[in-house]
Amino acid sequence: MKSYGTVLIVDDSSTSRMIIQRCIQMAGVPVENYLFAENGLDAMAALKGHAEIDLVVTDINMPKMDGRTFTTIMKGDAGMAGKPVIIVSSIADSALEAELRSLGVQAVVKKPVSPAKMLQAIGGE
Amino acid sequence: MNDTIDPGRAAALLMEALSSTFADLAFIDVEPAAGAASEKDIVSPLRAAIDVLKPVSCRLEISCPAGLRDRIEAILFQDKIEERGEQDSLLEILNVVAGQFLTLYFGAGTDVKLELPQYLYLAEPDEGAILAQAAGDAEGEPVFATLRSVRYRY
Repeated sequence: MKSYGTVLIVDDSSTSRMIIQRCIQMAGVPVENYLFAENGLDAMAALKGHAEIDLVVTDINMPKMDGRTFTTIMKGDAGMAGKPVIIVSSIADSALEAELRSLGVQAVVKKPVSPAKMLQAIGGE
Repeated sequence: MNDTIDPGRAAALLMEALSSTFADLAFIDVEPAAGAASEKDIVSPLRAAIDVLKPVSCRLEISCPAGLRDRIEAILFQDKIEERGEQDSLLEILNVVAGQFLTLYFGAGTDVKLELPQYLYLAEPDEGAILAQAAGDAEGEPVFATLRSVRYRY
């Protein structure tokens, strides 16, 4: 199973951030450290300040900068484009997944997340 | 909006979304309430709403006693209760219920656009007529999911 140094979890809901982290832990994916951001703007700042981030897990529907915009900007930045991105969203469906995958997103997980879903999305690499 | 929603089917699917979301996120069983239940009977009520812009214009609300929200956060945060921050667990549950309901009602692949969920404070007037409502019993505490007809421009 692939292991990660630092995972950035981006969600405006503190409940959701906690649930995502717990699901990754329960899935048994080895992660040394977690960082958190409440929206895409904060996530961009976190990525610029923490080069060690090697996985981003982000919601779509957020204030200030949504996950679509954040992912588009991130994947257009040569310094960040190589970092894998997992989308978690209550509105994830096949059309949205196709759109996001075309941006370079690794996987799309429909909420509610579970350890099994997170393992499938990030643990199998 | 009224023409596109079948109230009976919507109420049944609201109940299904409510039940599965509470079970998956908070490990709380929600079953249809026995007998006639009314939101007005909720003690210390909390009400949260999320506006749906696509595929139809409407508002979905959840209401329950504040004690149920506190119980959900105690279950979810366990030993990290000081990290619960904005006490937004009910908002996250509403967000997931909305996604589940819209997928169940309109089918996977439907283009969905949601606003951010929010708490409705004080005695905010009701927005729009009730299209469908599910009255649930969350292990002894009432919880309601209500779909209202509201027309938004976006």
